[in-house]
Amino acid sequence: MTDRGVSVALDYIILLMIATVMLAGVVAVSASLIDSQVDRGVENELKITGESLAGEVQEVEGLANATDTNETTIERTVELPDHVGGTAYRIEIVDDGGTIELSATGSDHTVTVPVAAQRLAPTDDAIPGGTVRIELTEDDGTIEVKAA
Amino acid sequence: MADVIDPGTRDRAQLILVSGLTIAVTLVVLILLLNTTIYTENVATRGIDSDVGDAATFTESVEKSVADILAAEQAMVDEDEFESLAANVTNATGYLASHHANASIERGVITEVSTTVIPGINATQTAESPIGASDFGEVESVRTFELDINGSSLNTSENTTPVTATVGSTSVEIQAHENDTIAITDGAGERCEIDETAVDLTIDIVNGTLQVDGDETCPSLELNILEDELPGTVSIDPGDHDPTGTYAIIVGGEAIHSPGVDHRWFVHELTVELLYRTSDLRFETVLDIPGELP
Repeated sequence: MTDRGVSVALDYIILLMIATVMLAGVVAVSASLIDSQVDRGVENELKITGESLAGEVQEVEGLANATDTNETTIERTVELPDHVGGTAYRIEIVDDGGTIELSATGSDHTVTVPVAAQRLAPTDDAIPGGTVRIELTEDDGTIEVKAA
Repeated sequence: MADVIDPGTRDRAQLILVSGLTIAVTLVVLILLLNTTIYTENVATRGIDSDVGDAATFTESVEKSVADILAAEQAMVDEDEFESLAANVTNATGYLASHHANASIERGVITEVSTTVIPGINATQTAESPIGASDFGEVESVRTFELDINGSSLNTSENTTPVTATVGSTSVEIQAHENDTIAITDGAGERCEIDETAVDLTIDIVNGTLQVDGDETCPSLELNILEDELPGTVSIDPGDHDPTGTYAIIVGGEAIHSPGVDHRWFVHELTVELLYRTSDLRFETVLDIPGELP
């Protein structure tokens, strides 16, 4: 007989319960931290992707402006990420070609990126993210972004 | 019998185990967070490829090189040796194209440079003399088209065929009448009359102006008949008149021919077709590099 007021088994169970509560608490906090970090990560990636695309469009426009666009053809293939944060996304040119809008499918993450390109034409429909093609059309000298 | 293991030691061991698990889970969470941050930064620092910038640099380089070649060859060849000049320019730009193609292929870039010499004719009469019929053929561009006619030299008989300056299907006509007036008719049929024949008429087709003794007149006439008519034939027909005066006609085109009056050939312009191609970029354009009059 010892002088312990509590049996070893009960002691062990109490320890396990404390450990379980602690672990549950850590997991709960981590899960919400991860969720918010993933959200921020997705938006950041969309923004960076949009800015990359805007930069490429502006470079193509710079090249077009340096030549006679009636006799110039430019086709630029840009490899953007296929997914951001594990989800697919779509790209749309809106505001008469002044804004690139990127939206993750299956969630409400949407990012808009301004683009300084006078010749950029708005897209008829959103195009899927991934590899895209930027083209200067000879007919009217406009720049279009299309799915590759 | 007493316990071999002190119960306090067992408790401590369990506490150590739980602490270790907690630390492991925390580390996993931190690693997940750090992974996302590192990836995002990696995407952010990726730069834009410089293919487009290289294409622009290539275009500027070719344009300057071809212009320099043309200027150098024009300086070395006599004014009347147009065919030698054209051949030299073609050979030199061909060498330039090979050089660029060989240098570019090492970087995985395909470039093509193709140059066409567009001939030009400079038919200028500076001393007052009869203005004869001339036909320049299919002209692509007109730099200068100016007639300076002595009105007194025009035939004032009625029903004579007028002096005609034609571009494509449109003409400017100069007709004198028995009442000692001169009528100028533009391509749209608009007519302007000058009250006397003892005047000097200067018709500038390129600028669309008519001067009588140096004063601009008849502003309503649309004498610039070049728009929508080029490429087209360019000709002068003195009609039933024997006009005297001076003229300056400078035209260019692949299909022009000797006009039947005194003239000089020159390189009107070089048309340069460029191709710059990489795995991600296809860039084609046409440059027009004007030649200088000799």
